Amino acid sequence: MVQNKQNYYDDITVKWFLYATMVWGIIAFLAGLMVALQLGFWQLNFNLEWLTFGRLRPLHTNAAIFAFAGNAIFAGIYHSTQRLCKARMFSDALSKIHFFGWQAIIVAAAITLPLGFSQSKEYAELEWPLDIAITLIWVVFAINFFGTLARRKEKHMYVALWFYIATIITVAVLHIFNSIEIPVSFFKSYPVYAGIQDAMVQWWYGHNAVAFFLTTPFLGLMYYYIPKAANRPVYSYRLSIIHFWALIFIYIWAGPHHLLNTSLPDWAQNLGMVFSLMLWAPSWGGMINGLLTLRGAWHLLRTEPIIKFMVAALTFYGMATFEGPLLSIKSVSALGHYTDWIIAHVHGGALGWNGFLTFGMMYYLVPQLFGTKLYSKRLANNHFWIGFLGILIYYISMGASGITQGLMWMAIDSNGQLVYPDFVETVSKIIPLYYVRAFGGFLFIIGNLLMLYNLAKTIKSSKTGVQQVKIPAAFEERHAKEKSHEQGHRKLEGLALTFSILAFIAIAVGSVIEIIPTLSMQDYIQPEKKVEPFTPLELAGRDIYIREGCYTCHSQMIRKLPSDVLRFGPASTIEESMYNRPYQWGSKRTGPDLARVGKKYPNLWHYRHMVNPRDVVQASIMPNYSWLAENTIDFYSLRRKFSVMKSLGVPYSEQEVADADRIAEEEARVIAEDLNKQGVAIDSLEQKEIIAIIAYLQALGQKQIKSEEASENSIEKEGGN
Amino acid sequence: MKQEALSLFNHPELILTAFLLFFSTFLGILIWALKKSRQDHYDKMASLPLELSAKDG
Repeated sequence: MVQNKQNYYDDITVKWFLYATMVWGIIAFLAGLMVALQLGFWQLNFNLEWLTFGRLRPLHTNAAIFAFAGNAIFAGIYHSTQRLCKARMFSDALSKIHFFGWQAIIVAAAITLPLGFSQSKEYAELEWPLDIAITLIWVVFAINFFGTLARRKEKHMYVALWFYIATIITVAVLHIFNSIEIPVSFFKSYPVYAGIQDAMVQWWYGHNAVAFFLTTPFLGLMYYYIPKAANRPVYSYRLSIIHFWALIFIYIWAGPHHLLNTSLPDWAQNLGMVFSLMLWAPSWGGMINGLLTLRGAWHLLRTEPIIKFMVAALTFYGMATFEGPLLSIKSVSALGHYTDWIIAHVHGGALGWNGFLTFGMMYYLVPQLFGTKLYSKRLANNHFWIGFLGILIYYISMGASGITQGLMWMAIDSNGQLVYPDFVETVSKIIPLYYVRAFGGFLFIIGNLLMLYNLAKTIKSSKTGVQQVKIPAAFEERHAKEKSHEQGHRKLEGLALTFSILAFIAIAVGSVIEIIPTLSMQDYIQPEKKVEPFTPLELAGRDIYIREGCYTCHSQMIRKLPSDVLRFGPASTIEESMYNRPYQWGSKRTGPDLARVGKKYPNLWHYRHMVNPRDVVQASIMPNYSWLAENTIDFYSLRRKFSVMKSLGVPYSEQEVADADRIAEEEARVIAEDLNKQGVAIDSLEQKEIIAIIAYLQALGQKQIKSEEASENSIEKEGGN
Repeated sequence: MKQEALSLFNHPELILTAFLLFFSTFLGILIWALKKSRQDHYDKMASLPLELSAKDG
């Protein structure tokens, strides 16, 4: 029986991953619709902390990337790898562990993120136990995949497999290095990187999560499924070689384009910008290779919904990979960064490229697996047009919103003053576009529901269920009479290990050159003379800020742009965030930058703003954070937190660590007394979380020590030691 | 002094190394891929997914 099994493909695992893609897809899209609506109607968190934008937005992004796209990738990889290797997957047990392990991680993420267990690093929010689980499951996947490659019957590895190899290696490297953190408790940790280091490592990871989780595996799927669907070989195999190596080599460098005009050194910004611009070439090379695969078969575009989805996906890929480098030009980034233009850009790629390619693949795979025909081409066509319209509405509304708001932020009159000094005014203007965006998302979901119905009916019509497909003979056996002379890339395609090592080197070069100098950046700063670390209560408040996902709407990075400086104060410096674990520079400003909000308003203002933002900013769309005035501060964990911070190099004294909770209680009492005097009458106010977050907000931009004070402090410390 | 050090943190040698690495790698791959190999091998590899029957998927 076991012997027999090896002669057949394992399509049951493919089926599971396809089902998971369907289920998590709709959940991810609904979570997206929910957060989109919350920006138009702030009341939609129903005053529940678990449903607040700051907690649901990471849930949406993680579900879309790792649950929907992740399961789609695995379905396609498990299906196509077996066929391209002419071998069953290496281990059925590993396939099962991979599938159930990945779903368990997703469920854990869906529980922990709304509960506020978050590292607040975009697309890497999950806390340390889940980071370890992801690593283990990824290793299982890697063993299963490379084991299959090792025992493949097909000597040469088709181009799709190269992209899968690059994906598996690079995602492992990115995830491990970005997740190095020290646990404080079971669901709380601090990263070993701080401030600018954390920002650099995070966007090296974040950008390449897009590159190696949402691009390279999908390109692999594209190279397999477009030829299959069109029944045409890939347009140029030569071009695919150049496409692959150029893409993986260049992509890894482009992360710093997420940090343009910030306090990141110019050399790193310029490097990120130049490599982003170079990405145009391989990206479009891949798109052209995919589209020209349809040469002589364009008529299929009229009749076959699968081809429609795939051509549209490639077109969106081309558009997104044109727009990405464009947004990486410093002057364009000055306009687009922190605005909804980025949201438009991301969704053009996610919904158009990842979504539509996945849908095309699913319409192809389900009938194949179940040995039947698609239930309704008409429904699939309707799905295409409704979904396509949804993406266009989404993209145009968010593009318009982003450019409008960006221009309003940058508008400076002839007197050198901001034309729109009230931040909230620039938000009010774009709210109608949030309604339009939500409608676009709604259409996309309607299309998705049509697909689910269509595929469910297709599966139901199958008389056999998932078919057992016998593994055919390998290419070499079928072409045994033809002589083959191995050289160049052809030889390399037969050497999976060598190929994988070279792919690793290609992604390692950019990583090493960018990351190593960033890690040594602290050498240029003398910590004790520049900035004071957070006090215990401020740190407690900071952890609440992180838990609530405030970074999803507020940046803490005043860019070196006149409009930013006029609006928020002097540009942020590297030193100011040198103790920030994790950094909180943010990537979106639905609300204003908070880098220098400290001492700008009295404590009472912050109190009222948290309980009901509209009490102090009438047009605010921020939800109420009333639970902060009810929940009590976790003073108990502060000693442990301070101890971990000290071990990471934050200059706390032993005494400060030992007395962290007591110091925090004293700080809280002072703020509570101030509020009491102004009429805030709440029992045990000094115990409430709102006091801690007020302490943190009042500290922002206030930690830099003036040079005279710095030298005095230095002398005192030396004396004390 | 430290501010000055930060403002001068431009690492020209890294940029040069990066450029040389990139350019030589790109040239290498280009030559490799366009080498006068037998076109029929590429054609066969390109058609590898299509060699399977419809039933094979």
